[in-house]
Amino acid sequence: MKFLCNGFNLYGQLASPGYLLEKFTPVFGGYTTVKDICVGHTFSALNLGKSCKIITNGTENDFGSSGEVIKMCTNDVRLVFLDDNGKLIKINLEDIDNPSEISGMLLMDSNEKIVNISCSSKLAVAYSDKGSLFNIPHKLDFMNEYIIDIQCGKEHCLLLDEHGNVYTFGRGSRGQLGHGQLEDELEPKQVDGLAGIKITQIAAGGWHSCALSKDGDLYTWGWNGNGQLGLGIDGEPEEASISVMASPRVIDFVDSQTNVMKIACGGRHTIVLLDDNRLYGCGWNKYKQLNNQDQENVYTFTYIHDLSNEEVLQLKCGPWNSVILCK
Amino acid sequence: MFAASEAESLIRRLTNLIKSQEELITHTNVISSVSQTLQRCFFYSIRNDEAPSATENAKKLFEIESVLDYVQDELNTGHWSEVPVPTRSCFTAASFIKCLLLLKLTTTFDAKLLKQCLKCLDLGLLLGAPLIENCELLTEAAKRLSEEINRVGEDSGIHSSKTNKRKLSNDYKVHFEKLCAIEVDGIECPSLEQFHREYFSTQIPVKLKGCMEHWPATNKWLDVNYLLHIAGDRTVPVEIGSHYVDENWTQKLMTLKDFIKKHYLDNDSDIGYLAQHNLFDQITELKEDIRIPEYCCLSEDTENDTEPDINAWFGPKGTVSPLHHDPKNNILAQVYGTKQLLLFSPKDSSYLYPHEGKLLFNTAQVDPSCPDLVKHPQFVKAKMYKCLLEPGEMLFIPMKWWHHVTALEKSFSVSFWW
Repeated sequence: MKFLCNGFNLYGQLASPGYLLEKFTPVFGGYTTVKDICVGHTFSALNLGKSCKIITNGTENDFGSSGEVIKMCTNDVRLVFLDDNGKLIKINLEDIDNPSEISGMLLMDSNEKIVNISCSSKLAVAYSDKGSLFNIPHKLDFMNEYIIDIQCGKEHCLLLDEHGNVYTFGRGSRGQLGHGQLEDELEPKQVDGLAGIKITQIAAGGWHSCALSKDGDLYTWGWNGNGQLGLGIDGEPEEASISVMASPRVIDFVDSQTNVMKIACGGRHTIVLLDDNRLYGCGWNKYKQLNNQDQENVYTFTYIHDLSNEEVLQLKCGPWNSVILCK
Repeated sequence: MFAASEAESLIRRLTNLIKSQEELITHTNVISSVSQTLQRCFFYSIRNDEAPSATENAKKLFEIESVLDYVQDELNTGHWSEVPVPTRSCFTAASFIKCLLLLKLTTTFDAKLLKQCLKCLDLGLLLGAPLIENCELLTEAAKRLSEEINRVGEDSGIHSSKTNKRKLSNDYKVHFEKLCAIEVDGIECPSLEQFHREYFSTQIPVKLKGCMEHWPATNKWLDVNYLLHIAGDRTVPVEIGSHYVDENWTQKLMTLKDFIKKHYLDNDSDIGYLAQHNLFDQITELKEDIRIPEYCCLSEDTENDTEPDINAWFGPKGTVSPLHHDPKNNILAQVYGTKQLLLFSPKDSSYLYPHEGKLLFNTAQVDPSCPDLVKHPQFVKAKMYKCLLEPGEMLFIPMKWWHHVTALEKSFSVSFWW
């Protein structure tokens, strides 16, 4: 697999020279068996199959697993990974030599195991094969056996089930839950604005959210302080831009035939791959997390990179980075 | 070399204000990599370096920016009240260090640079929280920069006549007289004891006359050029929109000069209001022009004798604070201009239709200046009080008393909450 990455690299987290990668640059070339990566503010984490590796400031640390690592998630201070035995390992960056196991969740019976996780600065969410959801360590009332994806923003969480329904909970003060108001929700609540639309991908930024429908339509909502929802109109002054959008809003691309294939959100930016293999993005660009232009905020989805020579598997973002996983 | 030596000398004057270097650069509340970056930036900024390289300079500025942006993301996470004070203090410290770096890296020493530095300090003051040992560091540094901007000789004045001490247009008086409400008592400079006995202990609003004659502000602030000279380049928060419940209402940061030009002197643009801002902790020079009323020392709770919260309310004619109540006793002191206040006792709350929810529970839905009796029929049962607050007068608004405030002219008020 090949990783193209741009953006903030002050802590050498991309294992490349330069404190800022202004263009998409192949990174982590030496690791051929990498299955997944997470880029954080000061470090990156690589999933090597049976172990995880943390890269920061020119150092590397490996952490073994009791099985196959199936999911990693990071926030500013830690890496959490999950293996296929349902074991959750937490590594605190400030105490990197002492990984610990996260336990103490109230599982219903001994057969139940954790099969998915997502975490961020204020949330750590785990999901079991019996359909239980935990805001670690608390078990939520919500039950759904069909959850296929979990994405956490700084303080909110998106869930996607295999029927294409989206649920959100957590902090709502910036509209990030998409329920049409700014209240917090302790339990996942279906996003009514997306009811009836089959959603196939979800993504959570710091305080914003995105969903992609089966038909290739992109929906965004939440905080738009840097243009990360892409709601702007070209040439419109910054002040005219909406700062909070509390319900999902469909994004019109110039060519209405254009379909969106993949999506990802960084802290305050959004990137999408269109069906012609071109990468578009909007939001904060101070750390060149979109492109190498000097514009600090980009209020409409703007072409940023041509990927027609690549087979793109997945888009990911760090807080101030964009990452393209290619075959 | 001239620019460099001027900048060096200013850096020295600013670093001399540091009371505790350790406190300035030790931040255990943020991740260690980030706090180490902040430390590196600080030591770089005070290093005596004959010829710092341009690339290294650029990198250091990038580093301190990344610290500020990182901490700002932290400040944006969670409710403002839940953000740990040490995280906010880290933002303040990083703002100061950025200011030093801007000076260190400059090739031209001019007003533009100084204004950029000052804005950076003001953001540190507005979004951050004071350090403890270095509690006056940013306010003092900002004062030095303001002085420096005046020294390099940029004319910050606006050619405008004084806001004259003129008689209020009779229309307002007539309108006020006709208002169907009980006029709040007025009393000439009461003794502390009388104020306590008749108004404070009974929690009855009263207008206090002749208590502000010793305030330098009542004369000095009439001249906007005085305010511009002291604080024209300082960044302040301004509320834009007719009032804070309005859906187009927003808050912006701008310099006092831009606020005065766009929203205060020019009546055409949107209403802008420098409202409920603790201007006097940010710009301590202005605090010297006001006097804390001695009535604010009265308290039912003898343990609690802290200083009152002091806020500035500065704006053009037509600013409105919708009907709301505050959790503290309030003395609203009118430095110049006239405001009309409509007041209601907490006993009448149910007739005022308070908003539901935790955000606006202290704000009423009814507009007492123009009530909709179809929507709010109970309002007729509310007993309304009125007060025309003129320059040099203060109004005591007891805790939890509802009040609706309209500026009938260009106005500057100072409120004291205790």
